[in-house]
Amino acid sequence: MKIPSNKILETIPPSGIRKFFEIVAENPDVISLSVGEPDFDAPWSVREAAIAALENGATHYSANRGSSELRGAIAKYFARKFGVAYSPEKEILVGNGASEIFDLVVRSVLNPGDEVLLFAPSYVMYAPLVALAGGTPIFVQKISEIAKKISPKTKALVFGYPSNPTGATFTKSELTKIAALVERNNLLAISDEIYAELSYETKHISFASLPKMKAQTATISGFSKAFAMTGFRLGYLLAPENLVAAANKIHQYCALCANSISQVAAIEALENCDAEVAKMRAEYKLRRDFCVRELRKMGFTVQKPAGAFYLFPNIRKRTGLSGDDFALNLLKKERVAVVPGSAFGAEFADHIRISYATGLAELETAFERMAHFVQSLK
Amino acid sequence: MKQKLLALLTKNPRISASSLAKILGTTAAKIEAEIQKLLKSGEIVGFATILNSNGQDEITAMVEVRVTTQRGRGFDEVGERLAKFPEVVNAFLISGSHDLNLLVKGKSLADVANFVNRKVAVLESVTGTTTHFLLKKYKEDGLIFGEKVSDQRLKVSA
Repeated sequence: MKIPSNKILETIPPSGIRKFFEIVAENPDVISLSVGEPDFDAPWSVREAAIAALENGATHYSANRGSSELRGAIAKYFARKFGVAYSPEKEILVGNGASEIFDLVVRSVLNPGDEVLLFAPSYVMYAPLVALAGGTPIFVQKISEIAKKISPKTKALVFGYPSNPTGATFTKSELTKIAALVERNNLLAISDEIYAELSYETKHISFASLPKMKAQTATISGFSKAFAMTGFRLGYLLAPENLVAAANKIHQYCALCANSISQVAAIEALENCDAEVAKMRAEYKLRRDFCVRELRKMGFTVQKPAGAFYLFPNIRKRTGLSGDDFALNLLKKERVAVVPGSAFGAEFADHIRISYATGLAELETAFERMAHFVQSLK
Repeated sequence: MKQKLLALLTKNPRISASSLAKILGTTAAKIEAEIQKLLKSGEIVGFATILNSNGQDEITAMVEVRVTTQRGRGFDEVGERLAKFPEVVNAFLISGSHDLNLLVKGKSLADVANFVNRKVAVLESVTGTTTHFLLKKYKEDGLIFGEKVSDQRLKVSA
Protein backbone atom coordinates (compact mmCIF):
# COMPACT_ATOMS: atom_id res chain seq x y z
CA MET A 1 0.00 0.00 0.00
CA LYS A 2 1.13 3.51 -0.69
CA ILE A 3 0.95 5.50 2.52
CA PRO A 4 -1.26 8.51 1.86
CA SER A 5 0.43 11.87 2.25
CA ASN A 6 -0.55 15.42 3.02
CA LYS A 7 -0.36 17.66 -0.07
CA ILE A 8 0.72 20.73 1.87
CA LEU A 9 3.44 18.79 3.68
CA GLU A 10 4.82 17.64 0.33
CA THR A 11 5.39 21.27 -0.66
CA ILE A 12 7.40 22.04 2.47
CA PRO A 13 11.14 21.53 1.90
CA PRO A 14 13.11 19.58 4.50
CA SER A 15 14.65 21.77 7.18
CA GLY A 16 17.99 23.29 6.18
CA ILE A 17 19.04 23.06 9.80
CA ARG A 18 18.37 19.32 9.79
CA LYS A 19 20.39 18.86 6.60
CA PHE A 20 23.35 20.64 8.13
CA PHE A 21 22.95 18.67 11.36
CA GLU A 22 23.53 15.47 9.43
CA ILE A 23 26.74 16.81 7.90
CA VAL A 24 28.04 18.01 11.27
CA ALA A 25 27.13 14.72 12.93
CA GLU A 26 29.56 12.93 10.58
CA ASN A 27 32.38 15.11 11.89
CA PRO A 28 33.17 14.39 15.52
CA ASP A 29 35.53 16.73 17.32
CA VAL A 30 33.96 19.93 15.98
CA ILE A 31 33.33 23.07 17.95
CA SER A 32 29.71 23.79 17.26
CA LEU A 33 28.50 27.37 17.02
CA SER A 34 25.28 26.01 15.51
CA VAL A 35 23.30 25.30 18.63
CA GLY A 36 20.00 27.07 19.18
CA GLU A 37 19.82 26.47 22.91
CA PRO A 38 21.66 27.68 26.01
CA ASP A 39 24.84 25.85 27.00
CA PHE A 40 23.89 26.36 30.66
CA ASP A 41 21.96 23.63 32.39
CA ALA A 42 18.66 24.63 33.97
CA PRO A 43 19.20 26.26 37.40
CA TRP A 44 19.64 23.64 40.10
CA SER A 45 16.67 24.93 42.11
CA VAL A 46 14.48 24.32 39.05
CA ARG A 47 15.80 20.77 38.69
CA GLU A 48 15.37 20.24 42.42
CA ALA A 49 11.75 21.40 42.10
CA ALA A 50 11.24 18.87 39.30
CA ILE A 51 12.68 16.07 41.46
CA ALA A 52 10.44 17.09 44.35
CA ALA A 53 7.46 17.21 41.98
CA LEU A 54 8.10 13.60 40.99
CA GLU A 55 8.49 12.58 44.62
CA ASN A 56 5.24 14.31 45.46
CA GLY A 57 3.40 12.47 42.74
CA ALA A 58 3.05 15.08 39.98
CA THR A 59 2.55 12.20 37.58
CA HIS A 60 -0.95 13.06 36.41
CA TYR A 61 -2.61 15.25 33.81
CA SER A 62 -2.95 18.89 34.68
CA ALA A 63 -5.76 21.17 33.54
CA ASN A 64 -5.65 21.51 29.73
CA ARG A 65 -4.63 25.14 30.00
CA GLY A 66 -1.87 24.32 32.48
CA SER A 67 -2.07 24.18 36.26
CA SER A 68 -3.74 27.18 37.81
CA GLU A 69 -0.64 27.70 40.02
CA LEU A 70 1.61 28.00 36.96
CA ARG A 71 -0.82 30.27 35.10
CA GLY A 72 -0.94 32.47 38.18
CA ALA A 73 2.85 32.56 38.36
CA ILE A 74 3.09 33.44 34.65
CA ALA A 75 0.61 36.31 35.09
CA LYS A 76 2.59 37.71 38.02
CA TYR A 77 5.92 37.30 36.23
CA PHE A 78 4.74 38.96 33.01
CA ALA A 79 3.20 41.88 34.86
CA ARG A 80 6.34 42.31 36.97
CA LYS A 81 8.77 42.10 34.02
CA PHE A 82 6.89 43.68 31.15
CA GLY A 83 4.00 45.54 32.71
CA VAL A 84 1.15 43.70 30.98
CA ALA A 85 -1.59 42.10 33.09
CA TYR A 86 -3.22 38.87 31.91
CA SER A 87 -5.99 36.91 33.57
CA PRO A 88 -4.66 33.49 34.65
CA GLU A 89 -8.15 32.02 34.22
CA LYS A 90 -8.95 33.35 30.77
CA GLU A 91 -5.94 34.74 28.94
CA ILE A 92 -3.13 32.23 29.50
CA LEU A 93 -2.49 28.82 27.94
CA VAL A 94 0.50 26.61 28.76
CA GLY A 95 1.77 24.22 26.08
CA ASN A 96 4.68 22.04 25.08
CA GLY A 97 7.06 24.79 24.09
CA ALA A 98 6.64 28.01 22.12
CA SER A 99 6.53 26.02 18.86
CA GLU A 100 3.37 24.16 19.85
CA ILE A 101 1.86 27.44 20.96
CA PHE A 102 2.63 29.03 17.60
CA ASP A 103 1.05 26.04 15.83
CA LEU A 104 -2.08 26.35 17.99
CA VAL A 105 -2.41 30.07 17.28
CA VAL A 106 -2.14 29.82 13.50
CA ARG A 107 -4.48 26.82 13.40
CA SER A 108 -6.96 28.74 15.54
CA VAL A 109 -7.10 31.81 13.31
CA LEU A 110 -6.39 30.76 9.71
CA ASN A 111 -8.66 29.53 6.94
CA PRO A 112 -7.40 28.17 3.60
CA GLY A 113 -6.07 30.99 1.46
CA ASP A 114 -5.46 33.42 4.29
CA GLU A 115 -2.17 35.26 4.17
CA VAL A 116 0.26 35.75 7.02
CA LEU A 117 3.06 38.28 6.93
CA LEU A 118 6.34 37.01 8.39
CA PHE A 119 9.48 38.94 9.09
CA ALA A 120 12.49 37.38 7.40
CA PRO A 121 14.91 36.07 8.34
CA SER A 122 13.10 34.45 11.21
CA TYR A 123 12.84 31.29 13.20
CA VAL A 124 12.50 28.34 10.83
CA MET A 125 9.21 26.96 12.14
CA TYR A 126 6.93 29.92 11.40
CA ALA A 127 6.47 29.46 7.64
CA PRO A 128 5.94 25.66 7.60
CA LEU A 129 3.40 25.86 10.42
CA VAL A 130 1.53 28.70 8.71
CA ALA A 131 1.44 26.60 5.52
CA LEU A 132 0.25 23.48 7.37
CA ALA A 133 -2.53 25.56 8.91
CA GLY A 134 -3.69 26.39 5.37
CA GLY A 135 -2.20 29.87 5.29
CA THR A 136 0.18 31.44 2.80
CA PRO A 137 3.33 32.92 4.29
CA ILE A 138 4.33 36.27 2.78
CA PHE A 139 7.77 37.54 3.73
CA VAL A 140 8.84 41.07 4.56
CA GLN A 141 12.31 42.19 5.54
CA LYS A 142 11.55 45.73 6.69
CA ILE A 143 8.72 47.47 8.49
CA SER A 144 8.38 49.79 5.48
CA GLU A 145 7.48 46.78 3.28
CA ILE A 146 4.53 45.70 5.42
CA ALA A 147 1.95 48.13 4.05
CA LYS A 148 2.64 47.12 0.44
CA LYS A 149 2.26 43.41 1.19
CA ILE A 150 -1.04 43.68 3.04
CA SER A 151 -4.01 42.37 1.05
CA PRO A 152 -7.64 41.73 1.99
CA LYS A 153 -6.53 38.15 2.73
CA THR A 154 -3.93 39.16 5.31
CA LYS A 155 -4.93 37.93 8.74
CA ALA A 156 -1.83 38.14 10.87
CA LEU A 157 1.64 39.58 11.19
CA VAL A 158 4.33 37.41 12.80
CA PHE A 159 7.53 38.73 14.32
CA GLY A 160 10.01 37.53 16.91
CA TYR A 161 12.29 39.83 18.84
CA PRO A 162 15.04 39.64 19.95
CA SER A 163 15.41 37.60 16.79
CA ASN A 164 16.67 34.17 16.00
CA PRO A 165 18.77 34.26 13.74
CA THR A 166 19.90 37.91 13.79
CA GLY A 167 19.83 38.86 17.48
CA ALA A 168 18.23 42.16 16.47
CA THR A 169 15.37 43.64 18.42
CA PHE A 170 12.79 46.36 17.73
CA THR A 171 13.04 49.84 19.19
CA LYS A 172 10.05 51.59 20.73
CA SER A 173 9.55 53.67 17.59
CA GLU A 174 9.69 50.60 15.35
CA LEU A 175 7.16 48.83 17.55
CA THR A 176 4.91 51.88 17.42
CA LYS A 177 5.03 51.80 13.61
CA ILE A 178 4.15 48.11 13.59
CA ALA A 179 1.33 48.74 16.05
CA ALA A 180 -0.14 51.44 13.79
CA LEU A 181 -0.16 49.00 10.85
CA VAL A 182 -1.66 46.24 12.97
CA GLU A 183 -4.42 48.54 14.18
CA ARG A 184 -5.20 50.18 10.84
CA ASN A 185 -5.41 46.84 9.01
CA ASN A 186 -7.13 44.93 11.76
CA LEU A 187 -4.44 42.24 11.94
CA LEU A 188 -3.59 39.78 14.66
CA ALA A 189 -0.04 40.43 15.85
CA ILE A 190 1.76 37.20 16.73
CA SER A 191 4.69 38.33 18.81
CA ASP A 192 7.29 35.70 19.70
CA GLU A 193 9.11 37.09 22.72
CA ILE A 194 10.88 33.97 23.92
CA TYR A 195 14.26 35.77 23.93
CA ALA A 196 12.92 38.78 25.88
CA GLU A 197 15.05 38.10 28.97
CA LEU A 198 18.16 38.03 26.80
CA SER A 199 18.13 41.74 25.95
CA TYR A 200 21.46 43.38 26.67
CA GLU A 201 21.47 47.16 26.55
CA THR A 202 17.79 47.97 26.36
CA LYS A 203 14.87 46.68 28.35
CA HIS A 204 12.54 44.48 26.32
CA ILE A 205 9.26 46.16 25.42
CA SER A 206 6.43 43.68 25.07
CA PHE A 207 4.28 44.38 22.01
CA ALA A 208 1.09 43.96 24.02
CA SER A 209 2.19 46.80 26.31
CA LEU A 210 1.69 49.30 23.49
CA PRO A 211 -1.59 51.26 23.54
CA LYS A 212 -4.58 49.17 22.31
CA MET A 213 -2.33 46.27 21.29
CA LYS A 214 -3.20 43.77 24.03
CA ALA A 215 -6.56 43.07 22.40
CA GLN A 216 -4.89 42.37 19.04
CA THR A 217 -1.84 40.42 20.11
CA ALA A 218 -0.94 36.80 20.70
CA THR A 219 2.24 36.92 22.79
CA ILE A 220 4.27 33.72 22.72
CA SER A 221 6.97 32.93 25.22
CA GLY A 222 8.44 30.03 27.13
CA PHE A 223 11.07 28.75 29.49
CA SER A 224 13.72 27.43 27.11
CA LYS A 225 15.88 30.48 26.54
CA ALA A 226 15.55 32.65 29.65
CA PHE A 227 15.80 29.77 32.11
CA ALA A 228 17.81 27.31 30.00
CA MET A 229 14.96 24.78 30.24
CA THR A 230 14.79 23.54 26.64
CA GLY A 231 14.31 19.89 27.56
CA PHE A 232 11.41 20.71 29.88
CA ARG A 233 9.35 21.59 26.77
CA LEU A 234 7.23 24.38 28.14
CA GLY A 235 5.86 27.50 26.49
CA TYR A 236 2.86 29.75 26.90
CA LEU A 237 0.39 31.94 25.12
CA LEU A 238 -0.89 35.27 26.40
CA ALA A 239 -3.82 36.43 24.31
CA PRO A 240 -7.43 37.62 24.30
CA GLU A 241 -9.88 35.23 25.92
CA ASN A 242 -11.48 33.91 22.73
CA LEU A 243 -8.14 33.12 21.09
CA VAL A 244 -6.91 31.30 24.20
CA ALA A 245 -10.17 29.31 24.24
CA ALA A 246 -9.78 28.38 20.57
CA ALA A 247 -6.12 27.40 20.96
CA ASN A 248 -6.99 25.38 24.04
CA LYS A 249 -9.61 23.48 22.04
CA ILE A 250 -6.88 22.20 19.69
CA HIS A 251 -4.38 21.74 22.52
CA GLN A 252 -6.76 19.56 24.53
CA TYR A 253 -7.24 17.22 21.56
CA CYS A 254 -3.65 17.05 20.31
CA ALA A 255 -1.60 17.42 23.48
CA LEU A 256 -4.05 17.29 26.39
CA CYS A 257 -1.73 19.18 28.68
CA ALA A 258 1.91 20.09 29.09
CA ASN A 259 4.23 17.93 31.18
CA SER A 260 3.09 18.17 34.82
CA ILE A 261 6.60 17.85 36.28
CA SER A 262 7.87 20.65 34.06
CA GLN A 263 4.96 22.83 35.13
CA VAL A 264 5.96 22.56 38.80
CA ALA A 265 9.60 23.30 37.97
CA ALA A 266 8.55 26.32 35.88
CA ILE A 267 6.96 28.00 38.89
CA GLU A 268 10.33 27.90 40.66
CA ALA A 269 11.95 29.44 37.57
CA LEU A 270 9.48 32.32 37.44
CA GLU A 271 9.51 33.07 41.15
CA ASN A 272 13.08 32.45 42.31
CA CYS A 273 15.53 32.57 39.42
CA ASP A 274 16.08 36.26 38.65
CA ALA A 275 19.68 36.07 39.85
CA GLU A 276 20.42 32.99 37.74
CA VAL A 277 18.93 34.65 34.69
CA ALA A 278 20.99 37.79 35.31
CA LYS A 279 24.15 35.70 35.58
CA MET A 280 23.48 33.98 32.27
CA ARG A 281 22.59 37.28 30.62
CA ALA A 282 25.89 38.84 31.77
CA GLU A 283 27.83 35.87 30.43
CA TYR A 284 26.10 36.02 27.02
CA LYS A 285 26.81 39.74 26.82
CA LEU A 286 30.51 39.20 27.47
CA ARG A 287 30.56 36.55 24.74
CA ARG A 288 28.63 38.73 22.30
CA ASP A 289 31.12 41.57 22.69
CA PHE A 290 34.00 39.13 22.20
CA CYS A 291 32.44 37.64 19.04
CA VAL A 292 31.66 41.03 17.49
CA ARG A 293 35.22 42.24 18.08
CA GLU A 294 36.74 39.07 16.64
CA LEU A 295 34.53 39.18 13.54
CA ARG A 296 35.40 42.83 12.96
CA LYS A 297 39.11 41.98 13.29
CA MET A 298 38.58 39.44 10.50
CA GLY A 299 37.17 42.21 8.33
CA PHE A 300 33.45 41.45 8.57
CA THR A 301 30.89 44.20 8.92
CA VAL A 302 28.81 43.33 11.97
CA GLN A 303 26.13 45.20 13.89
CA LYS A 304 26.19 44.52 17.59
CA PRO A 305 23.00 42.48 18.18
CA ALA A 306 20.75 43.69 20.99
CA GLY A 307 19.66 40.31 22.25
CA ALA A 308 19.36 36.50 21.97
CA PHE A 309 22.64 34.65 21.39
CA TYR A 310 23.14 34.86 17.64
CA LEU A 311 25.08 36.79 15.05
CA PHE A 312 24.06 36.74 11.40
CA PRO A 313 26.88 38.33 9.41
CA ASN A 314 27.02 38.62 5.64
CA ILE A 315 30.23 36.76 4.79
CA ARG A 316 30.08 37.12 0.97
CA LYS A 317 31.36 40.73 0.93
CA ARG A 318 34.52 39.83 2.79
CA THR A 319 35.20 36.32 1.51
CA GLY A 320 33.40 35.96 -1.82
CA LEU A 321 31.88 32.72 -0.54
CA SER A 322 28.25 31.79 -0.13
CA GLY A 323 27.10 30.89 3.37
CA ASP A 324 26.87 27.22 2.33
CA ASP A 325 30.45 27.12 1.01
CA PHE A 326 31.74 29.08 3.99
CA ALA A 327 30.04 26.74 6.46
CA LEU A 328 31.07 23.53 4.67
CA ASN A 329 34.70 24.57 4.24
CA LEU A 330 35.00 25.94 7.75
CA LEU A 331 33.67 22.63 9.02
CA LYS A 332 36.00 20.53 6.87
CA LYS A 333 39.16 22.58 7.24
CA GLU A 334 38.86 23.98 10.75
CA ARG A 335 36.24 21.78 12.44
CA VAL A 336 34.00 24.68 13.41
CA ALA A 337 30.27 24.45 12.68
CA VAL A 338 28.11 27.47 11.87
CA VAL A 339 24.68 27.37 10.20
CA PRO A 340 24.51 28.56 6.58
CA GLY A 341 22.11 31.48 6.14
CA SER A 342 20.25 29.54 3.42
CA ALA A 343 18.60 27.55 6.22
CA PHE A 344 16.64 30.75 6.93
CA GLY A 345 15.64 31.40 3.31
CA ALA A 346 17.29 31.70 -0.11
CA GLU A 347 17.62 35.49 0.31
CA PHE A 348 20.08 34.90 3.15
CA ALA A 349 22.43 32.61 1.27
CA ASP A 350 25.29 35.08 1.82
CA HIS A 351 24.99 34.92 5.60
CA ILE A 352 25.95 32.52 8.35
CA ARG A 353 24.37 32.17 11.77
CA ILE A 354 26.81 32.02 14.65
CA SER A 355 25.46 30.99 18.04
CA TYR A 356 27.47 32.09 21.06
CA ALA A 357 25.71 29.72 23.42
CA THR A 358 29.13 28.16 23.98
CA GLY A 359 31.73 28.73 26.70
CA LEU A 360 34.33 31.48 26.24
CA ALA A 361 37.27 29.08 26.08
CA GLU A 362 35.67 27.19 23.18
CA LEU A 363 34.59 30.42 21.51
CA GLU A 364 38.15 31.67 21.62
CA THR A 365 39.44 28.53 19.89
CA ALA A 366 36.59 28.60 17.38
CA PHE A 367 37.28 32.21 16.42
CA GLU A 368 41.03 31.55 16.12
CA ARG A 369 40.20 28.75 13.71
CA MET A 370 37.73 30.92 11.83
CA ALA A 371 40.32 33.71 11.51
CA HIS A 372 42.82 31.17 10.19
CA PHE A 373 40.23 29.98 7.65
CA VAL A 374 39.36 33.52 6.51
CA GLN A 375 43.08 34.33 6.24
CA SER A 376 43.62 31.28 4.01
CA LEU A 377 41.05 32.55 1.51
CA LYS A 378 43.17 35.52 0.47
CA MET B 1 36.77 46.06 33.58
CA LYS B 2 37.95 45.26 37.13
CA GLN B 3 34.75 43.42 38.11
CA LYS B 4 34.70 41.40 34.89
CA LEU B 5 38.40 40.59 35.27
CA LEU B 6 37.94 39.43 38.85
CA ALA B 7 34.97 37.27 37.85
CA LEU B 8 36.93 35.61 35.06
CA LEU B 9 39.99 35.03 37.29
CA THR B 10 37.86 33.60 40.07
CA LYS B 11 36.37 31.12 37.64
CA ASN B 12 39.72 30.16 36.11
CA PRO B 13 42.95 31.45 37.69
CA ARG B 14 44.99 29.84 34.91
CA ILE B 15 43.36 31.83 32.11
CA SER B 16 46.08 33.55 30.10
CA ALA B 17 46.50 37.30 29.87
CA SER B 18 46.04 37.07 26.11
CA SER B 19 42.70 35.27 26.47
CA LEU B 20 41.56 37.82 29.04
CA ALA B 21 42.61 40.60 26.70
CA LYS B 22 40.52 39.13 23.87
CA ILE B 23 37.49 38.58 26.05
CA LEU B 24 37.62 42.04 27.58
CA GLY B 25 38.69 43.85 24.43
CA THR B 26 42.01 45.20 25.67
CA THR B 27 45.71 44.32 25.50
CA ALA B 28 47.58 41.61 27.39
CA ALA B 29 49.93 44.25 28.82
CA LYS B 30 47.01 46.16 30.33
CA ILE B 31 45.62 42.93 31.81
CA GLU B 32 49.00 42.10 33.38
CA ALA B 33 49.27 45.60 34.81
CA GLU B 34 45.75 45.40 36.25
CA ILE B 35 46.42 42.01 37.87
CA GLN B 36 49.67 43.31 39.39
CA LYS B 37 47.78 46.32 40.74
CA LEU B 38 45.11 44.10 42.29
CA LEU B 39 47.75 41.85 43.87
CA LYS B 40 49.61 44.83 45.24
CA SER B 41 46.50 46.43 46.71
CA GLY B 42 45.57 43.08 48.28
CA GLU B 43 42.24 42.79 46.49
CA ILE B 44 43.56 39.57 45.02
CA VAL B 45 45.20 37.66 47.87
CA GLY B 46 46.48 34.80 45.75
CA PHE B 47 45.61 32.02 43.33
CA ALA B 48 44.79 28.57 44.66
CA THR B 49 44.77 25.12 43.10
CA ILE B 50 42.01 22.80 44.26
CA LEU B 51 43.08 19.15 44.49
CA ASN B 52 40.71 16.24 44.38
CA SER B 53 42.61 14.58 47.24
CA ASN B 54 39.59 13.45 49.27
CA GLY B 55 41.68 12.26 52.19
CA GLN B 56 44.04 9.95 50.36
CA ASP B 57 47.33 11.50 51.44
CA GLU B 58 46.23 14.05 53.94
CA ILE B 59 43.81 14.47 56.78
CA THR B 60 41.59 17.49 57.08
CA ALA B 61 39.70 18.60 60.16
CA MET B 62 37.29 21.39 61.01
CA VAL B 63 38.31 22.67 64.40
CA GLU B 64 35.87 24.71 66.45
CA VAL B 65 37.68 26.96 68.87
CA ARG B 66 36.04 28.70 71.84
CA VAL B 67 37.86 31.76 72.99
CA THR B 68 37.67 33.99 76.03
CA THR B 69 38.55 37.57 75.35
CA GLN B 70 40.27 39.78 77.87
CA ARG B 71 40.87 43.49 77.92
CA GLY B 72 43.36 44.31 75.24
CA ARG B 73 43.18 40.84 73.78
CA GLY B 74 40.33 40.53 71.31
CA PHE B 75 39.48 37.77 68.88
CA ASP B 76 41.88 39.23 66.37
CA GLU B 77 44.90 38.48 68.46
CA VAL B 78 44.19 34.79 68.77
CA GLY B 79 42.78 34.56 65.25
CA GLU B 80 45.86 36.12 63.71
CA ARG B 81 48.15 33.94 65.81
CA LEU B 82 46.43 30.73 64.80
CA ALA B 83 46.36 31.79 61.16
CA LYS B 84 50.17 31.88 61.13
CA PHE B 85 50.47 28.10 61.60
CA PRO B 86 51.06 26.40 58.25
CA GLU B 87 48.76 23.56 59.37
CA VAL B 88 45.84 26.02 59.42
CA VAL B 89 44.42 26.37 55.91
CA ASN B 90 41.38 28.50 56.75
CA ALA B 91 40.72 30.55 59.85
CA PHE B 92 37.39 32.30 60.29
CA LEU B 93 35.81 34.25 63.14
CA ILE B 94 32.16 33.26 63.18
CA SER B 95 28.98 33.84 65.13
CA GLY B 96 27.24 31.08 67.07
CA SER B 97 28.21 28.41 69.55
CA HIS B 98 31.94 28.84 69.07
CA ASP B 99 34.19 31.67 67.96
CA LEU B 100 36.86 30.55 65.53
CA ASN B 101 36.51 27.96 62.85
CA LEU B 102 39.77 26.47 61.59
CA LEU B 103 40.41 24.14 58.69
CA VAL B 104 43.49 22.17 59.66
CA LYS B 105 45.48 19.79 57.47
CA GLY B 106 47.99 17.13 58.47
CA LYS B 107 49.52 13.86 57.30
CA SER B 108 47.64 11.65 59.77
CA LEU B 109 44.91 11.74 62.38
CA ALA B 110 47.59 11.83 65.06
CA ASP B 111 49.28 14.72 63.30
CA VAL B 112 46.12 16.83 63.35
CA ALA B 113 45.18 15.78 66.89
CA ASN B 114 48.65 16.67 68.15
CA PHE B 115 48.53 20.02 66.46
CA VAL B 116 45.19 20.85 68.06
CA ASN B 117 46.28 19.64 71.50
CA ARG B 118 49.74 21.15 71.54
CA LYS B 119 49.34 24.33 69.57
CA VAL B 120 45.71 25.42 69.74
CA ALA B 121 44.22 24.15 73.02
CA VAL B 122 47.16 25.38 75.04
CA LEU B 123 46.73 29.02 74.15
CA GLU B 124 45.76 31.04 77.18
CA SER B 125 42.63 32.54 75.66
CA VAL B 126 41.37 29.25 74.21
CA THR B 127 38.77 27.70 76.51
CA GLY B 128 37.91 24.67 74.43
CA THR B 129 38.13 22.95 71.05
CA THR B 130 36.08 20.42 69.13
CA THR B 131 37.67 18.62 66.21
CA HIS B 132 35.62 17.19 63.32
CA PHE B 133 37.57 15.04 60.88
CA LEU B 134 36.54 15.45 57.29
CA LEU B 135 35.25 12.28 55.65
CA LYS B 136 34.43 13.34 52.11
CA LYS B 137 34.35 16.46 49.99
CA TYR B 138 31.46 17.14 47.65
CA LYS B 139 32.18 20.72 46.74
CA GLU B 140 34.98 23.16 47.41
CA ASP B 141 35.20 26.82 46.46
CA GLY B 142 32.30 26.46 44.08
CA LEU B 143 33.68 23.40 42.34
CA ILE B 144 31.80 20.14 42.54
CA PHE B 145 33.96 17.03 42.88
CA GLY B 146 33.61 14.29 40.32
CA GLU B 147 31.29 16.36 38.14
CA LYS B 148 31.68 15.53 34.48
CA VAL B 149 31.32 18.48 32.17
CA SER B 150 29.91 17.20 28.92
CA ASP B 151 27.76 18.98 26.39
CA GLN B 152 24.60 16.95 25.96
CA ARG B 153 23.09 19.22 23.33
CA LEU B 154 22.52 18.36 19.68
CA LYS B 155 25.39 19.78 17.62
CA VAL B 156 23.03 21.77 15.40
CA SER B 157 19.58 23.04 16.29
CA ALA B 158 17.23 25.76 15.13
